[in-house]
Amino acid sequence: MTNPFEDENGTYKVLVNDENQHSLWPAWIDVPAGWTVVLGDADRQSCLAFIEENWTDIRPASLLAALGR
Amino acid sequence: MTAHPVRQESETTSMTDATSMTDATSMTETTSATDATSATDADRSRAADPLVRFLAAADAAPGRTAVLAVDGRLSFAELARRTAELAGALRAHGIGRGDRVGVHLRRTTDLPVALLAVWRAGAAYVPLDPAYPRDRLAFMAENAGLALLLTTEPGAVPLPDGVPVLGPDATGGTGPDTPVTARDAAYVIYTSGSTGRPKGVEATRGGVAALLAGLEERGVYRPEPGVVGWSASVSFDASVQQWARVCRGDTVVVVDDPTRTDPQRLAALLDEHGVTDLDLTPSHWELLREPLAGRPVRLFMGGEPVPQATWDEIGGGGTDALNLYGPTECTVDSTVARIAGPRPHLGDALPAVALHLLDPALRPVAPGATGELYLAGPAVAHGYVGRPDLTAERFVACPFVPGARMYRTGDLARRGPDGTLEFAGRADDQIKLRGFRIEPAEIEAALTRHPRIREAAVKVHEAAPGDQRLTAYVTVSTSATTSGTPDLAPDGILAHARTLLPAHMVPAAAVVLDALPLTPNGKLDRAALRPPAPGTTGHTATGAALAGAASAGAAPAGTASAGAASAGTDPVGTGLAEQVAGVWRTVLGRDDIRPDDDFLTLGGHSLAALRVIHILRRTLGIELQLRHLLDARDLADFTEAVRTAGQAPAARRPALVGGAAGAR
Repeated sequence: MTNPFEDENGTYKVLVNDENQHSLWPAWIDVPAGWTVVLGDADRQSCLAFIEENWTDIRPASLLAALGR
Repeated sequence: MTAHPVRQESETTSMTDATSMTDATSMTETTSATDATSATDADRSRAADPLVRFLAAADAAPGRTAVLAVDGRLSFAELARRTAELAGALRAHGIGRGDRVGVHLRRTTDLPVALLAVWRAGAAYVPLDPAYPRDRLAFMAENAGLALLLTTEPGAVPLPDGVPVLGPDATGGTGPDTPVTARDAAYVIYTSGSTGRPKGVEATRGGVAALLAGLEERGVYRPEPGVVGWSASVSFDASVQQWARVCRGDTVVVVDDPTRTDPQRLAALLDEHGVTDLDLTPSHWELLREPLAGRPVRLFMGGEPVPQATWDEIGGGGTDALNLYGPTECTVDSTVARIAGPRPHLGDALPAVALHLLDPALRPVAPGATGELYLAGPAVAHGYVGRPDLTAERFVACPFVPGARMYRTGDLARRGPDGTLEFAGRADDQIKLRGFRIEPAEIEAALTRHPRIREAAVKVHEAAPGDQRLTAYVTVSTSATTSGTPDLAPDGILAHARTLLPAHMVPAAAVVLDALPLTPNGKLDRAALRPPAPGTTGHTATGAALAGAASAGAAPAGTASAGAASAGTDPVGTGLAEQVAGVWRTVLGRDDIRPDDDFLTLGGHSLAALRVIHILRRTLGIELQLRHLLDARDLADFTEAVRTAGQAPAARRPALVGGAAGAR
């Protein structure tokens, strides 16, 4: 069984929700409600590089705000 | 102590991963009614923070025993006092919400004191196992961004500059507990990573709360206070399900490693303290069935799939046992089944866990079809600390609840005819070895950090049911590929691995190859990696030989420690010595055993050691303990220990009870 997130040659998007949580997303599957496309379509490596650069703390935005970070 | 450590309860309902789980489950109901869970917001609001529950338990029964360990016992009142004092010291050092505190402690009463105190200070704990290699501890300390380290051994963990170190007895002004939300981190626990480095999973206080409440609701925990054997290392999240039960008023008995794997010590421990609940892996059951079967203790089986034979034996024997499944990324346990009935299964999701079986287009699979398992709900962790890329690959947008995420487990499963979930293998290379979750790529990456190793692959071979051995296959860089060189003897490869990897990830054998076998499309052909033949030595030349039965063994040619003896000679001698050597040969699966061989160096692990003790007890009718083998320098030394034990009829069973009591 091929997982849609594991296709090294596939085309992907980067999605973000209200908590600034990022998700890799297969370009050919509908974007779920509550998520915004911030990059795409792009190859898998580009998407992961974008995520590394733009999502510096994996904790939810509401928590980081409460921590003053 | 008086402040309510959880504020803004309403915040849980606005959490992205926690919203409208009923919507999520109604989606999956279209394919399978049993995918539905009762994960409503009401369920979650019932899941009180573990610290709130601990303080209530301490108030309700201050004199009750909270923790028993080798160094003594703590009542609930004492545990409350000590954790308040240590939390005060942490706060005095500036520790608070959002901080991560390393806990590098042995398995004494200090350990639960430290874990709870970190929570009382509002922070998350990061377990740093004293048995791990320094390199790995340094990586974890750096990766987690520790704000402070709790240890009795300053200097044992290499720390970035400026990280303060405290002992577990430190005190500071006691004050109110630092309030947190369900979204605050509870701990960071490292799991094997396919990129070659361990991944730190950051789980939440709300996740721990949901775990305890969920297991209670499923009847896994009895309503009355129990006595829980805490057997898992704090470095693995199975330990959370054990030690955190002190928060609901249970007594936690710290089981040390020698006791955990020694049937008679364990039996004595269960009796002495009236242990009601004990975790173990199916691999351990193979060796612990005698003291456990029929005993009034509830068994929590987890860490790896329960084999059919084990399932039948436990279910048919009337042993009270549960099968628990769950990845670290979803806070310990996600599903639970009672071990009974004809086929091994995972049961169904815990109340707060939404479970989806999806096809490659992320659509729910048809009833009975195999799909990949995705998990959602408040127990889903934040992700991997410092690895947003890996987090975004595995914690992905959930198509069923707006804005929510789901964790992609990599496990395949299907619904059986009765609706229960059945494990159907892995979607990737991840392996389970004696209950430990291991990414082969992490071991391979560690091996290739050796300057002479060009490529590496690892594979688990099952020599006998329950007897799994991890073998490393490597190729040599530069020109030295035709003969064994001293610095790339299999022993040297394994020694290199030991400097980088925790014991459970170190291969039992290493084989040097000229080339790794490849599939027609150029990928590693794991199926062609054959088990090392017992007793053969050194180095194979070709891929063709590799695919045949006679690939290389673990022993290096021409080194002093092993391997030079041929199978035809008997370097040990006859009589008892030969009998003991024969057991080593059987258990270790190799013929080239010499009197000066060390059991552990030959790839023996604790379960293998227990098997040796088991066989000798049975065949010789004498009393032996695991330490006889683990303390022995080599085979000759162990043989002497066996001889001595055989000459001491007084050393039969009663002596072991004393040993176990001491080990408590």
